[in-house]
Amino acid sequence: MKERPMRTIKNFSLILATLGFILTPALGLAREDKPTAPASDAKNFCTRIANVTGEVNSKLVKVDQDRGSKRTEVFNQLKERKESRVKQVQEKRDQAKADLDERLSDLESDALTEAQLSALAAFRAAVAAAQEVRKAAVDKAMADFRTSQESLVTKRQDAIKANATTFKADVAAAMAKAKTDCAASVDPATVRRTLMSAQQAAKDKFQQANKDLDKLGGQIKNLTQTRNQAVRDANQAFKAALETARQNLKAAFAQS
Amino acid sequence: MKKILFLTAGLMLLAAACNAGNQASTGNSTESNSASRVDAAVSNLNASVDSEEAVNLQSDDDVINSDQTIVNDYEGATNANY
Repeated sequence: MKERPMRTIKNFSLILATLGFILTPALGLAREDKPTAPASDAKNFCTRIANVTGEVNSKLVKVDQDRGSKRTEVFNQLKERKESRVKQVQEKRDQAKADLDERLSDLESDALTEAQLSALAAFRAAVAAAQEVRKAAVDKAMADFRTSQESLVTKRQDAIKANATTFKADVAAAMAKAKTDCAASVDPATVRRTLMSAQQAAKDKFQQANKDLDKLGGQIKNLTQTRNQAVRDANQAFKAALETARQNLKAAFAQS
Repeated sequence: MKKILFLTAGLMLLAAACNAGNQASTGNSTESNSASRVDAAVSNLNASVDSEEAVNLQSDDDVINSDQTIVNDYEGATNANY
C-alpha cells in the first residue's frame, strides 16, 4: 500500500518525460516561426515604434513617387516606340515605291509592243491596288493593337496603384495598432509580433491582388497574336497578288 | 559587170541576214532583261514587306512589365529595424 503513491509519481514522471520528448521539437519549430530578434530589441520595440513608422512611411512615399514616374516612363516609351516604328515603316514604303518606279521605267523602255506597254500598265495598277489593300489592313491591325494595348496598360497601372493604396492602408493600420498597443502598455514583444504578423498579411494580400496583373499580361499576349496574324495575312495576300501580276507581266514580255 | 552585180547582191543578202540575226539576238536579250527586271521589282517589293513586318511585329513586353520592380519595392519598403 505504501508503494502506491511512489508508483503513481513514477508513472506521472514517465508520462511527462514522454510528452516533453514529443512536444519539444514542435515547440522549437513554433519558436522558429516567430520574428527573430534579441530579447532586448523586442523589449525596446515600443521605444522604437515612432522611428520605425517614420522610416516605413518615408520609404512608401518614395515608392509611390517612383510608381508615378514609372507609369509616365512606360507610356512615354510606348509612344516613342510607336512613333519610331511608324517612321521606319513609312521610310520603307517610300523606298519601295521609289525602287518600283525606277524599275518600271526601265521596263517601259524595254517594251517593244503596245501589248507589252499595256501589260506594264496592268502590272502597275495591280501592284498599286494590292499595296492599298495591304496598307489599309496592316495600318488597321496596328492601330487596333495600339489602342487596345494602351487601354490594357492603363488598366495595369491603375491596378498597381489601387493595390498599392490598399497595401499602404493595411500597413498604416498595423502601425497605428502597434502605437496604440504600446501606449496601452501591452508587452512590447507582443506588439512587435502582432505588427509583423499584420504586415505579412498585408504583403500576402498585395501579392495576391497583383496576380491580376498576370491576367492583363495574358490579354496583351492575345492582342499581340491577333495583330501578328492580321499583319501576316495581309502581307501573304499582297505577295499572292504580286505573284499573279508578275506572271502576267513576264508572259507579256515573253511574247515578241 | 555581171560578176560585180552578182557579188554586190550576194553581199547585200549576207548583210541582210546578219542584220536579221542581230535583231533576233537583241530581241532575246531584251526579253531576258525584262524578265529579270520584273523579278527584281517583285523581289524588292516582297523584301520591303518582310522588312516592314519585322518592324511592326516587335514586342513591347519589356516596357510594359518594367513596372514589376515597383511592385517589389512596395513590399521592400516595409522592411525596417523592428
